[in-house]
Amino acid sequence: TERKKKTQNLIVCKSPPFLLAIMVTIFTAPYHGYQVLFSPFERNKIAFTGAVNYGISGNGALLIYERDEVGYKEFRRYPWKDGLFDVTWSELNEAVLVTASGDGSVVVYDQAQPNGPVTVLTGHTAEVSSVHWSMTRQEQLVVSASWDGTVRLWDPNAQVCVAIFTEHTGLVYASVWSPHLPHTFASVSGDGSIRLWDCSTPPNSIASVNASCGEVLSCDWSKYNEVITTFLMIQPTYQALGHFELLLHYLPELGGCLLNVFYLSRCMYFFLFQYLLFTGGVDCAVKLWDIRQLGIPLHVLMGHGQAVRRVRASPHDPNIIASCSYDFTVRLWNIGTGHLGGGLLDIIAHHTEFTYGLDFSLHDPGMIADCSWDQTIKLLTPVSIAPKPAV
Amino acid sequence: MAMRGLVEAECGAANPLLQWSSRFSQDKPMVKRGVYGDQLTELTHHGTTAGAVQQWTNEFVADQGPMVPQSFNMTAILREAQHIEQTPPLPSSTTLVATPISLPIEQDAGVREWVEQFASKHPVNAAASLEAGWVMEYSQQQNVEARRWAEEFSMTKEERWVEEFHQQRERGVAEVARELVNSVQDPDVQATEFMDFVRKLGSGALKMEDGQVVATGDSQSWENEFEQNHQENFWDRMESDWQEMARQEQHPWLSEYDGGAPPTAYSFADENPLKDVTNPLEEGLRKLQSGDLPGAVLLFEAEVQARPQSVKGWQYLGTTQADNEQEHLAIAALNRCLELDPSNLPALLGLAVSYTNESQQNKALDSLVAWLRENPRYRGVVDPSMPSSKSQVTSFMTKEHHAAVTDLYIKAAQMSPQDLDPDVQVGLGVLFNLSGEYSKAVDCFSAALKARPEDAMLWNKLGATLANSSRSEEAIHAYRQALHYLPGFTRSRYNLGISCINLKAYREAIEHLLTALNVQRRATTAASTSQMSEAVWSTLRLAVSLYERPELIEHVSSRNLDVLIREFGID
Repeated sequence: TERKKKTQNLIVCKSPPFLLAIMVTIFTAPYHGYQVLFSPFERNKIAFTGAVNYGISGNGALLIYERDEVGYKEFRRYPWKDGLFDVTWSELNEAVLVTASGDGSVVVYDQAQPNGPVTVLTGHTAEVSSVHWSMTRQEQLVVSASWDGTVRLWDPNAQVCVAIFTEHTGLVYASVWSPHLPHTFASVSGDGSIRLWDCSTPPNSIASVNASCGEVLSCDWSKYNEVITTFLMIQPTYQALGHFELLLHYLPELGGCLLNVFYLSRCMYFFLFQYLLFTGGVDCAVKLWDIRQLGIPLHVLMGHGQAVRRVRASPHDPNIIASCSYDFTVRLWNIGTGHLGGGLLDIIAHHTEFTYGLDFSLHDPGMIADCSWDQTIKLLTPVSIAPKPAV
Repeated sequence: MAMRGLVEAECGAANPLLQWSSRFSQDKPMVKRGVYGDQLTELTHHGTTAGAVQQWTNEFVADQGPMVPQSFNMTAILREAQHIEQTPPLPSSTTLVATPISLPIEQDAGVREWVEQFASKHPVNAAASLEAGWVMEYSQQQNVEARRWAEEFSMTKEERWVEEFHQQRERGVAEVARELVNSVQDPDVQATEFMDFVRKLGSGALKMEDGQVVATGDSQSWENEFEQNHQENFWDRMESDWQEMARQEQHPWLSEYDGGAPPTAYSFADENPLKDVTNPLEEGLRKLQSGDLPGAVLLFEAEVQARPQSVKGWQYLGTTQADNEQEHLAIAALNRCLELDPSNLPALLGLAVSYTNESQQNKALDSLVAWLRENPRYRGVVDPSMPSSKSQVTSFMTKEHHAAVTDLYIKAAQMSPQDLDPDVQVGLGVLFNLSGEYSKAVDCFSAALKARPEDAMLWNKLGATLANSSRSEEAIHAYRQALHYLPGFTRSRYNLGISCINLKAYREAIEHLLTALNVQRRATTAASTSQMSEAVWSTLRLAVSLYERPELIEHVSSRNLDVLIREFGID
């Protein structure tokens, strides 16, 4: 049929030179995939959340797959009466996961208990679109973002909502903890803004910016904690805005004031990876932000044909980020240099429906997983982020 | 004044309001899709076209004064302008500073019309910021196409509609579904299963009941459309085995980007059977000549352990470890050598190569510049005021820095055009590898090879450059040449393995990698495995998994080299 032919055309991997390793497909019928995440503790476990009927109505489930000698087997299946739109692994206990549900609850599961959830935390008045477990050791809280416009902090042990942040004026699509800055998380929303929050100060944002024309759908922090001097890709943006010199913004450990230290030549810009935030939104662009200077994005990566649904930063290479989009592709970007121009490293188009979930493996460098509304999870290692010969 | 255009329209000139109302009446999808949002859907229910236009006209006339600036979100723009203006102006700065404010108003009348039309809407907050955003985007990207805007609109609406789906679950689902179907223009999106689903919802073939979707009539189940993957087990097995193999061991890639840390000290082999050889340096050089790299490494280690100030010892240790595919140890040794003697040229060049392999580009550039500076022949080429980036913890380089260093090397090369200095060519080749200009790098290494046709290291560099530019067959030829001149050249064999993998010759890849490991192991006692390179093991895992022999993966994980050697018949 016409439809089938179209499907075949879409399954094309355009990568220079080619896709290195085998692609594994896990079928998750009847659930349409919303998020897939590798376990930070166990190399062979992967969590998946999805919903029937594309998440519009009906139930959903959390599925945990485990890899053995033969392949991926379903290890746990936790059905839920509404769609589950996001999942996060606990950073404390390798068996615990927290999910975001379409009925407004945050559901906590423990793999040691295969019959159902451990806790159901209610409070949100609309779908919960994202949950994230804190990445720094200073707190063990879960942040959830919801379409009711609020972001909530939960303590999963005490089973209470610790704080509510209400500054957003639209649906909040994602909220992510910073892996380095303690007590800090960022959220992005349908009102087009990115907001930074500190959970130890009263629940108002510490910074915010109107990120783009349109909704911002996803954000992720760089996982690295380094200083780099220069950035090949950001020069065009700054030249276009007339920034022929850039300032060195120095955020001292104490205080938090911005100091203009000195002016540099037009090509140099200092920044720290730990302040780097990536967002993707309806304007089809992936943007890089320095959270200390939120006024303008550091760089804009164009290329996707439709809205960008999710961005992820690689935990292995500070330059690599991945984004999945409504144009059915997953794109890999190198923010230092790029081979296809514009920082684009690779285009992977192997789904026939919107790709919604995306993750980098922590244990197997270069491996990524993505899940889609076509009811599959695909795990693959693109050659663009695989080993290179030594000169 | 904005009103003039409306009221005193000249013959043939565009009347903004009429333009806009025509859009409303004819181009329904556009209108529904646009920024009007809830307001418009309400209006379509309540009023006729004419009535709505009248209503808007009144509002346009009444509130045009403060409306326009608000919708441009002027405060945000002014804040941006202040921010930009805080930087001191350079003489060469252009008028771009003023661009975000001036462009949409003055330069392009078409845009102005369009934006003003949106400006005349109800002051919806979301819409206002959306328009301001568009203005900013337009000013920043002058070559944006109208089509892109249309797609942006549609995607904005997609998200909205999906959200509205959830919000209006119990009522009007069919209607919302129909509107969504009408609003989507993109053919790829229209062809998706999701749109099929929505169409069915819209046409009533599916109904929402009690939060469940129920098929009415004889609608087919879409799940049947997905082909059952008979290959699922096969692929799963392959990939799973590969993943299994890669776990547990500390993968070199995991630690690779610790970066920015101060150079680590060299860590010696646990057991060195060649420790008590007299004059280990000479012995080591002899072994190097004969092609036994791991043995040479042990002898050089003995040398520097006996004589820690031996510059030559550290230098050879470093370069040989690099060729033995032990990059971190090589960097440590070469740095130590340079501490003792900052003008050691082979160490500097070796460091440049190692840093290039580790993607530490700025350090590589520094080493290359230092090589020129310390070289008596080319000292004059380097400007003493050349900025060195040593003071910062670095990884990336600028185009300018790279171009400057390339210029220096080209100048050095031009100093003696008749007889090329192969080292300068190597430097240039490394530089072009850094910037990805692989064809130029190939030229440089080929030129160097003309002067030194038997230099295995040069052949390897040429091969690696060819492999990086996807010329794997030629790369293999170059690697074979390297191995011909230096049979124990581990690095080259490792690269050969990678190229074989890229060409899908998995058995050959495994054989090469096993040979490399075997050579490394032979130099030490059977017990110690410290001499074997992590990078080679991990690539071997990859090759074995692609080769579809699951039972071998176990052996790779447990580093059981003997079994693997027997299996593949390596001597």
